[in-house]
Amino acid sequence: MQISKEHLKILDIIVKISMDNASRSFSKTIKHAALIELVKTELMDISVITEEMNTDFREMVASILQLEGSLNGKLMFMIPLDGALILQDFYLQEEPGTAKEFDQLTEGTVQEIGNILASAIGNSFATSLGSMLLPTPPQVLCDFAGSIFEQFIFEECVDNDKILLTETKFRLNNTEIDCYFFLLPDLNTLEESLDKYENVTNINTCNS
Amino acid sequence: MKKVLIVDDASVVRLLIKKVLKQGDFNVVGEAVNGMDALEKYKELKPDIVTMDITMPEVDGIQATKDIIAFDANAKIVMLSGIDQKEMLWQAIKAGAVSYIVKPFEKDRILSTLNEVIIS
Amino acid sequence: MILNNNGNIVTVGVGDLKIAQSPKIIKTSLGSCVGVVLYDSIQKVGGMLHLMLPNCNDREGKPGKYADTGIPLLLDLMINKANSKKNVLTARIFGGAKMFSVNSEIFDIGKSNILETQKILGQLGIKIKSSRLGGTKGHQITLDTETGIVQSRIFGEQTEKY
Repeated sequence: MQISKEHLKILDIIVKISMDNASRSFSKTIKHAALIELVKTELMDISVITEEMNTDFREMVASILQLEGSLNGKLMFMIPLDGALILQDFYLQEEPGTAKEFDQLTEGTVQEIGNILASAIGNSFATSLGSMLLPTPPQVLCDFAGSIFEQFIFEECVDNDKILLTETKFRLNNTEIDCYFFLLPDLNTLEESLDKYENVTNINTCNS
Repeated sequence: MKKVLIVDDASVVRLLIKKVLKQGDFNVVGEAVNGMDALEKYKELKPDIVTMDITMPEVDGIQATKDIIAFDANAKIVMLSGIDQKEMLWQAIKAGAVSYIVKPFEKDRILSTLNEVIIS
Repeated sequence: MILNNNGNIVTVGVGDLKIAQSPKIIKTSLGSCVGVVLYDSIQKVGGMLHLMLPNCNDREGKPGKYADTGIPLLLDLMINKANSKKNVLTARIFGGAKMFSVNSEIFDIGKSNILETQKILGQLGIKIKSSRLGGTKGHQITLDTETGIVQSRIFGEQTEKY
């Protein structure tokens, strides 16, 4: 798996801008500040990244989507089960503690937050790359953090020992809830898109 | 009260839109979970206005809008989507949507947009 | 992610294998992957492999990703690094769930992983002492190298000892 240092840097910047937009959308959606605690874009060894994830034995709920267009990739929003209930209360503007059991509405909330974040990422990338990028309908799953993450990256691991992954960690303000958003870009379409981006940027620089 | 059909695959979003519309002069007569369901419910319920999500399984919101407009050229469809991209907006308008609201939703924005659409 | 690691806990990632001696604990989380645990009760040494596919088929990359290259490697580590005697080693296997897949082409890889793991352990002459396999949900396993007992937890089910 290959990506040039320059492209990694461009991706890192676009992701940071995208996640700023995404966190604003996220905060507006739940009427509560979702603060970015970490954004990183790295080429990671699959054993190392999953080892890190497997130390987290919490039960999670995740929304997985694909991004399709000039850049393909997979996206995942993941939150601990107890956090998802509070997220549901925020989203439906109920008193915290109203949602007591995981049900269709909790699942729908996680699905919708996945949609909102994926759309924000798609919108930002589309603006940067000058093309259309759309998320597919999300699939929601409940499981252990490590088991969910293993499935998320499974296909990329079949032929690669390293994967390019962006990880964003949010904390919901005034709560102990942390949640995660991952982007797993398809390297072939990413390289093509970033080449185009570089060319457009060069032309703009020359013209200015 | 104007009759509204809400189309969105997420039950929680439909619930939230219902909550908002209750605060206006709207009566939610039905809900649909994808584009195919939307056309059937439209034929059955004949709503005055439809709120339409774009990203849905099976038949998406753009195709559903085309299908509903093909059945009733005067249908009033408002897109409600997180996608804020020029090309998508253009596709929605070409399909026949009369307005487009970008998520996250603001209560006042939804009510004022739907009221404007009804008056027009 | 919350790191529960302390000096006595060893965590195994996808395509990796690790061995450790009492009083260490070795753990991992599995989906369609299979976790192979080898245990030497004399020296109180355990090894864990987290494999994701049945066969290497001359692919490059981590041998621990595949059952047919990872299991012999784990055995080799136990014998040549931990100095375990092959005849005292026992195996326990876990995981291999039929998980949700973004790509529907990857059809029940968990089942293929289980079958290949059982076949290879058989060929190597290692007895499978216990197993908890299949299902549609993830698995967490924790090996206590002092006792050789594996605590197995399937999502939505009780923790059980193997």
